[in-house]
Amino acid sequence: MLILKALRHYLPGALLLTTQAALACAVCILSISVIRDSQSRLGARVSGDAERIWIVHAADPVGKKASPETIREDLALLSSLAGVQGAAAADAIPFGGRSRRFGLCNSAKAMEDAISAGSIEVTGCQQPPIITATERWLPSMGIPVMQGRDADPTEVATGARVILLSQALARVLYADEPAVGRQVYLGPDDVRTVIGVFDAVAGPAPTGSDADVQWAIQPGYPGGSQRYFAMHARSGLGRQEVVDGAIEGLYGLEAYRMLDPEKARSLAEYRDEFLRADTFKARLLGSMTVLVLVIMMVGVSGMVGSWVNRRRRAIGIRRALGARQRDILSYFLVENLLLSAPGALLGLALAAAITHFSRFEALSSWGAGTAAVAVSVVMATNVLACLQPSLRAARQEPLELLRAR
Amino acid sequence: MIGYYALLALRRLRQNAMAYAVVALVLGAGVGCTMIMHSIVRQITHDPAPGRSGFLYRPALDVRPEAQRRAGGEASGNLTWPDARQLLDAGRQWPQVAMAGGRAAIKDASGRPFNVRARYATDGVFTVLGIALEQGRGWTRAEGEGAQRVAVVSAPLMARVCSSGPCLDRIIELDGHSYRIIGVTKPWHPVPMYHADLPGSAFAEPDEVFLPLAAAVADDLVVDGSVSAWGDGGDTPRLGPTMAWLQLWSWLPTSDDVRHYEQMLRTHAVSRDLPADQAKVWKMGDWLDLQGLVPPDTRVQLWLSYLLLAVCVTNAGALLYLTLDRRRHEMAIRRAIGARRVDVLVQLLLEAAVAGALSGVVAIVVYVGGMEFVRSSRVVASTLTVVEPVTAGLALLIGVAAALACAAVPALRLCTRQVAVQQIATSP
Repeated sequence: MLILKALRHYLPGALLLTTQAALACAVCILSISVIRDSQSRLGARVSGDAERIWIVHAADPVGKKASPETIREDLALLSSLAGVQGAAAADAIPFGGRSRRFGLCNSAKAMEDAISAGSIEVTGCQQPPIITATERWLPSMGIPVMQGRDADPTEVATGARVILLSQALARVLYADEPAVGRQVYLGPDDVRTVIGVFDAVAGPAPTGSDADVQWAIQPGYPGGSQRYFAMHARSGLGRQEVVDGAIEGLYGLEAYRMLDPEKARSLAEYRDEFLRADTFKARLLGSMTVLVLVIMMVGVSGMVGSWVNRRRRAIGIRRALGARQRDILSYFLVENLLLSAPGALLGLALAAAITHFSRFEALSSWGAGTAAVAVSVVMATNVLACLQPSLRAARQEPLELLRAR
Repeated sequence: MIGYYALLALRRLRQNAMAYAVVALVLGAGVGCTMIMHSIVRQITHDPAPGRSGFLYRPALDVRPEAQRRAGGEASGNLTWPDARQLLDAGRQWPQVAMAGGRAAIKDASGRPFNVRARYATDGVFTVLGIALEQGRGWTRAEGEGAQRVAVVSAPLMARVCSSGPCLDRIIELDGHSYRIIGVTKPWHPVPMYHADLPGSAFAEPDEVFLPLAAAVADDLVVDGSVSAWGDGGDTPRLGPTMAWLQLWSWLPTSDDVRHYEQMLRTHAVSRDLPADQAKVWKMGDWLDLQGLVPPDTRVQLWLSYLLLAVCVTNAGALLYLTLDRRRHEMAIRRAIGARRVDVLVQLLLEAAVAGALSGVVAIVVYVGGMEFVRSSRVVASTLTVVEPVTAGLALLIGVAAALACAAVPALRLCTRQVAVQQIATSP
């Protein structure tokens, strides 16, 4: 009551404190919401040794598509480079952004269901990205085989009807039963045997969902007019030592193809490039939120400091009449909470209104948890900002306060 | 008198240096951050062809078959070759161009192949889009329709492929087909690339080589961009009526031209059994609006930067309020010895304006530094991170205006106090 009576004299300042608590709370909620949205992609797991895996992208001009023999020659050359422990080719890579999805089912019946329903979204069927890769691609990409085995050169050369699944895809298709040896249906007449299950690392274009780690590999020579060569290099080798040698060597074999030096980089760099926008967004909004909180602290601290100064005599009288230091401190802290709490709630309403009217997808992911975090952060920042001037007032001697002009 | 107040304001500013520095920093940070987002959005949405955009029109038809139209989804507005051909013929009195973007492999001076961004177009491309030539000429209608293998290259491509000697009349190999260079364009890069297939190619790098559409089709060069095809499976012929892949642009100088053109477009739609209400001639600006080029993320960040600005202005307001409030005593004395209310007001506002100018300088520094940071992060097209003097000026202006607005309330409160003498007596 005392506080409310006193606040009547400081109405403009009180309104300012409430307003900025509201604005800061809204900024916090919306930033956290966007950051969480991008964080889900930033959490995508990459295979180990990503810095030691080097990728070179090659494209053929129209009418000069590389034959399997050419790809074999290329791989022999890349494997023979100093420091390279293994090389393989594929039509896509994790974080390459490019992928082809195919519908596949765990049984003939599921495939029939999918065909009669006209949709792959039936029980037992999935539509994961499938990468076509040569043998030794998994070790070249630093991805361990968890069950079964990698494809052998004969299977690659003959395009044998076999397939490798990521652990996550195997679990979705066959639950806890062993996947190796099971049949996968890519079409009514396209049945493949699972020969291996590999570690569930993120696939070609992670979007931040569980499906990112569900993908498959079919052994074969990458078709189409472009491919990614992957080289697993000894640690300590730099870009120049591996990539430059690889590009020069590949040009030496076939001068007509296009090897874009921009696209020749390590798997770690591919991942960073793919997540660049998300990383930037998270950093930008994170620093924006910190800036808002710091600015709010400056304002709150100044405002409370000024109030303390103007009420020195009143504080002195209260202290002289028996109020303890604790009472004075809690008086100012409660006063601050009385102003910032409605402000934070107002901010909640403001954020809800912006989310509702803007209809941005990235803003829609906040709920009670985010709101609670934002309100707590704003209130805590407010209390922290007014702690110093309040403590100063509480610690002064009553006589000193009463002497104040 | 104003000079005296300005002097007084500077002196006072020195005495309250800390408080005003904080105001300038707080306000400058807010305005600067907002200007970064504002500038990016402005560059996304600004007029890519000043002076020409008012006359450039994009005729669009929904050429999809009935079943696809019923299934919903937006039509791309792209035309099939027969539609484009008929509209070009029927509208001979207006300059028009039909085109598509693509890419082709070419060899550099050292003989290594690389891809160039190509534009396949009819002969009107240079006049309609206003592309000036540095050397040589564009192709004629006869050359275009006759699928002559001629090419007009951009200046940077000329430097790359013709490092030795003149470029004109040189033969270049594009995906293995020989083209003769007949012209070189001056630098031309509208942002966004309004003429291309939107929104995918809006912020792409500029076109490097222009080729006659008929020649590119005959050589089966690669088309980039959205190509929608329908029919009974198998290979869809690119020149057939079941593949929409061409963008058409018309130069319509008067409203009568627009009306007549629209009439012609509707007649064509009816003759093709297409919905006439979907046949529309879009003014270039409206067409860009329709494409929604500003990504949702950027919009969110713009909104958040506005909120940040609001927090900064609120705080700067609070700080100015406190700073001025401490000077009740001083102002009361000034009033008591004869200063008018307006004198006090002008003095206080001048002080605020100086602090505002300082915050404007901080805002410009934040803006320029922020744009540099965004550019180095390579998250948006480099064409959108140009530091604009207009925006820098705006930052300064907003800084001053915000400081004045923040100071106005406390300054008015101070100078409208009733009895100055009593205030002196009672002030703490």
